[in-house]
Amino acid sequence: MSKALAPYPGLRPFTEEEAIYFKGREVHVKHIIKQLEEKRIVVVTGASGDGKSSLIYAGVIPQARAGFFRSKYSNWLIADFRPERNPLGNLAASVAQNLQLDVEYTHKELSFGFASLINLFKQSDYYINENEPEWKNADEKQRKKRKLKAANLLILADQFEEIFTNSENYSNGRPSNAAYVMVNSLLESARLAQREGIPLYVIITMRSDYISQCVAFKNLPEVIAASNFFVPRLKRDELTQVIEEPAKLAGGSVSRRLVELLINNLQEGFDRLPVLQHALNQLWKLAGYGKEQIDLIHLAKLAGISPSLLPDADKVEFDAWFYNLEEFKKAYYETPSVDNVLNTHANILYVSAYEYMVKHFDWASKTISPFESLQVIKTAFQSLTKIDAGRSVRNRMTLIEIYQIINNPKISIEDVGAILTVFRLPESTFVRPFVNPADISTEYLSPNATLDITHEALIRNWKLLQDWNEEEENNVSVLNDFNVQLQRWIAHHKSKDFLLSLGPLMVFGEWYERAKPNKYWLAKYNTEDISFQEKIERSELLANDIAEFLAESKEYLAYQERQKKRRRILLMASSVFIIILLSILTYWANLQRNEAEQQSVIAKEQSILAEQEKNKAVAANKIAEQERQIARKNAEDAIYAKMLSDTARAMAEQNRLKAETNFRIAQEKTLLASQEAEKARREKMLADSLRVIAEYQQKLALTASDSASKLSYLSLAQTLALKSQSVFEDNQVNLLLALQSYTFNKNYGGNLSDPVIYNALRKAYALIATDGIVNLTYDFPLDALEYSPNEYLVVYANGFIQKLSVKDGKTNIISSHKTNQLINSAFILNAYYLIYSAENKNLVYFSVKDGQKRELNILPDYARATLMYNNSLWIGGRNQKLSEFQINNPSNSPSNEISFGGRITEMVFAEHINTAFIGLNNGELYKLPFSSLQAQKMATHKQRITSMVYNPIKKTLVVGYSNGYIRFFDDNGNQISEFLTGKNSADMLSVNSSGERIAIGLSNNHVRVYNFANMTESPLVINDLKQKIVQLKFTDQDQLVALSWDRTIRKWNISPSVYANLIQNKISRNLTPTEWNTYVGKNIPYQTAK
Amino acid sequence: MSHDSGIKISVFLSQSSDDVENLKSDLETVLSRAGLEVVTLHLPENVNFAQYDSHAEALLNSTACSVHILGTEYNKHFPDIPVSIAEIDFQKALQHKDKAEDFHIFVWLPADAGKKNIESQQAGFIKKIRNSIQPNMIFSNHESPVAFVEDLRSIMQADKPLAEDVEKTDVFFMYHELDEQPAEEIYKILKDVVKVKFLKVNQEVNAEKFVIEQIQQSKLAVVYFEQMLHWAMNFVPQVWKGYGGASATTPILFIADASIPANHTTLFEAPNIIPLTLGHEIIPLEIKVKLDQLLSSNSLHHHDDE
Repeated sequence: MSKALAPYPGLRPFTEEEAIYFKGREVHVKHIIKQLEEKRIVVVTGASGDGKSSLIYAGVIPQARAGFFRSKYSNWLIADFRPERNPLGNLAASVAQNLQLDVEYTHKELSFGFASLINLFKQSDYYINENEPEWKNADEKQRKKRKLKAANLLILADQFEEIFTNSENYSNGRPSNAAYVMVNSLLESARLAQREGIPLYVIITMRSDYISQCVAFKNLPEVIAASNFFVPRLKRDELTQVIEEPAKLAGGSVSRRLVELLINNLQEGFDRLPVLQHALNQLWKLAGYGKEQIDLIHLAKLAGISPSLLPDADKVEFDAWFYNLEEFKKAYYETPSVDNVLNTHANILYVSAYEYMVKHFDWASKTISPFESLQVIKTAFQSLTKIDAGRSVRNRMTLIEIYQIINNPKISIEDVGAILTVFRLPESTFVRPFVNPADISTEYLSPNATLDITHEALIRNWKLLQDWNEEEENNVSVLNDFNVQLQRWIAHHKSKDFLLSLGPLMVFGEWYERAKPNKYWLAKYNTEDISFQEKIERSELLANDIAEFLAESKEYLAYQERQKKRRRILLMASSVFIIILLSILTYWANLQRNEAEQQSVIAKEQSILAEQEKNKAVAANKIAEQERQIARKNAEDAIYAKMLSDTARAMAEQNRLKAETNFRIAQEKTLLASQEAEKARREKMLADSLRVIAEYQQKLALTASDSASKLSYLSLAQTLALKSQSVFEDNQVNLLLALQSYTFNKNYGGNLSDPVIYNALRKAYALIATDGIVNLTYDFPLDALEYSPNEYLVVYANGFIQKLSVKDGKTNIISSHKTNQLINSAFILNAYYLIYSAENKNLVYFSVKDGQKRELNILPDYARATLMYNNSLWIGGRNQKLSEFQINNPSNSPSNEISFGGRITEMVFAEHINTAFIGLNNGELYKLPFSSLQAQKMATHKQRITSMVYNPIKKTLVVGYSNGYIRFFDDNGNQISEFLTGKNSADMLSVNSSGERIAIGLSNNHVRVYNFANMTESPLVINDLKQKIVQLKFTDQDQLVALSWDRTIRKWNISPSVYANLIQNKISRNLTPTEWNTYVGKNIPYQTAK
Repeated sequence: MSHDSGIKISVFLSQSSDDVENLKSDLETVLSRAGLEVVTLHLPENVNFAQYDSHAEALLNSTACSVHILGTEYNKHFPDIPVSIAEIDFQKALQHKDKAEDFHIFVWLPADAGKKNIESQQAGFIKKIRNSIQPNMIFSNHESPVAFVEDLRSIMQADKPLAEDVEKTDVFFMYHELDEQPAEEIYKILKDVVKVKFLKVNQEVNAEKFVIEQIQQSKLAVVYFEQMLHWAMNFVPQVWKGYGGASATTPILFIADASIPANHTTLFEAPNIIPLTLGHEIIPLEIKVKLDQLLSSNSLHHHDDE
């Protein structure tokens, strides 16, 4: 196997050498072989591009040579030929070469038809006549020697349709003699071979659209009916093999997704296989000749698929690649499709042909300009195609023929050959003969080299060539119309009466300038049954006639114009002359009359003389009358001449109008063109918009994909958070899982205050740190707590007061005070002062700093809420009154007293409006501006008010109720909103220093921390406390401090990030990969925490 | 898997989105008319995911292939499951394909649907499938259900090689009838030292299928020729192509008998082909050596694998 052998041949058919890569057609090959074994002849028909030639060259023949075709001998002679313009000659040449005979002798023999071909075979060394004595008498060794030499003969008439596409072979429904004999030889040979058991086989390949023309050959339709193999369309699984298997055989591969895309995107109808093979050939090269798996990205780089269909990573690679692509190529990527790969490839070759010539060919004269090179390619490809019954088909031509059609003395034939080379390179193979990289001389084309488009798929899929062919078809159509007029002119001995009138002359003149029909171009469309040379000769005559006809028509029209002009001038001159003459005669007649009158007077005097003179006058009068009549006639002539002149003017006017109409039509066409351009522009805009939409949708899709990924990670974070609260032998695992859950949650955009993650972190931290808990030493019931940085003031219900400091997690008692037994509540004013109800039923105002106390003689059981304002102490309670006591001037009688309709349970102060808010046990809520001391009812709810707090940042009063409701009020006393925490009483409320968070202590011992701005968000829930919450308060550092009846003071951070940082400092290792796989998951990339 | 026995091919018709419900119904009819047995799950009311999952799995186990129609909508079915029922089916089919070697998945995005606006989540699903096509998975965009089913039936009924007179052996020795005498000499020596099966190729019997299958069952294939250079040079590439080329596992020892001067030429070279021109006497020995090397190399690889 040649190393350079590509598994996909591109546009050209598979060769016998490439048979190793010819896959997906095994069933078809077997059918043909079976048919040959039985009938000796098969006519393989099918649509253009169905791979008929490949099927024989890369399928049937290699199978036969390999011994998988049952026949008489082991060797095979393949006498293949194409009819071209010389079917019998080509058959003879191939048979002679294979049987090692003289070509002329073979040609002569074959021209007798019938058994001639089989006789030639039987007489050759390749056939063993077993009835001959020579064979019968031969020993085993001699026989083996004969057998080793003997060969079966396979005659292959490839592209049989050339019989019908070349007028030398078939014209006006009649075959030429040579074509007829060739067909007769093939059919008879097959018939005799079958009858006599001679190992001779015949294969004819032909496009199925020419079948009907086969009736021109006797017996051929019958043979087709009996031995036709119509190449089937490839099934999906066969197409899959065509794509996948050659790459596999060559050690490469094609991705499954590309296979499916290629199959789905192949257009139905003609050219599926050549278009596919060409694309695969290009893909193979782009993928490094099998080094990379051929995939979607490679197809996108060939303009065969929209980059939007690429996987994300490939799309990035493609965009970078496309950015660096030469600008002129980028336009070809606007309409990507599998078909477009061929179109794009051809376009790129077209544009780069000149540059390739300049770079590579020293021998080219290079007098050609880049623009002229494009013209050369256009004319060459127009020459290599022709219009046959309305179809564009291939047309073989020699280089010199193409050069002659180009007919530009500035351009050398070498340059024409050089310009076309890019289309002949192994990587393109659009035009035969191909360049052989191993033989540099094949780059050069001799003048007589025959060029041929490799496959008609190029004609149908290269859009530029389609346009050129349309133009060519138009030129041929005009030629045919013109020829009708020309032949009529010639038939009438080139009479002036049959020259072209002005309109046709303009049409054909314009065509002549555009098409420049020379003899070579005309010969291409000569359908007469004559030799090529004769065609050239006749076309030369025709070209001369065309030129003469046009020149004569032009000259005659000019002559007619001149004649008309001359006649007009003559008529005018005659008219003037007649008028002058008439005037003179009139004048003379008048003179005569005057004279007659004078003579009459004289006649009176001289009667005889007068009578004579009178007669003279009468005679003169008669003459005058005659002259007048002549003058009148001349005047009428002048009028007629004027009419003629007017008619000519009218005709001229008509012509002018016609010209104007044409001009208007031209303008309308221009307008239409501009409208089309506008439409195209709009369509482009629409396409751009659609592209933008598509891009947007793609982004949406990407976003959706991202979201899905995020969601799965967030879900994983939740799972890890829960797992982290399990019991592990090593509590480092708890820490690491909690930390990982926090990391995933944070990295994938989860709620930064997610309660599950928060609790995971908080609880994990609690496993290794005790600095959040102070266990109180006294086993007394607790009553109140005040907090300052690093210090707690704790009041026990038995009147014992302790001041504690907490540093590095350790608690120290700073001072202890024993006061009277408390019988009711204590109210902390600040870290140094507190009020409590003493057992003597007085209210005590106590300084913690110095232990001084001042007793106020007030019934303590009504004290429930206290407030200090301007050195006044306001106390409210069960007596349903709010009483003011002066601190600096103490008195047992209140200095002021305000009555309410229920017991006062809560009271808070809003400093900026100098107003207290007062809550009652019957659910009534009041505001009390100290400026007026007039209490105003704000709201009434039927549940007991159990807690209140004022948020100075948000300027909002928050009220907690016994049924779990929290209600929000503005400074004017209007309710803003309400929120139900659950069925438990909201016993404690606290707002942090920023006003952003609110903590609620519930009667079920739970603490919840909400986002103040959005209470519907999930709160942090702390359920560490085992007994009732006595006090709940935010510190300035955003920590939450709680005192509980379980005799602990607990301090919590309310931000997961704080706990995450604390844990980060406490972890001593990472999760092991095994732990990671067990708890996090095998599919999640391993990460370390430290 | 053979479907030539008259047994109907069973097709699992997956759930699909609401917009292609009519098409699904048409497809079901077309599949039946094409002689295929259609198995589909008609969802009862209130079925939950777990019930559906186990039922679908049972159905998949009983079928040879699955068909998935892709519409423009995504349509989640189970409130607690974030993916559509069509995607659930597709994932299940993928899992089943991993277990069942011959199971095929046919995905059909009707050409019409491909031109409409597709919901973004569905577009993501389609793109995911399109970019992850595996062996035995077909992604089709025919317009007509008939064309789609034609493809499906043709693929599911594709002829699989039938076992002939094929058996496992160490060496498969091939030669042409006209080289019978020297080949027989080699064979006689060879059969005493290795397990060998031979084939004499002649023009009477078409042995291509047998050759290819027998090579696949042999550890080493040998093509020998003395006089039949021309035959051998054509035989070996055809066989190489037929049995898998570069991706095949059995090497072919392509031996030219050096006794004929014309045989001193470049033989066919390709991956898995070992071309040798050898003196007649050492050919059996060389075959044995090559076989031993091969076995030793295979055993080494097995060892590595372990």
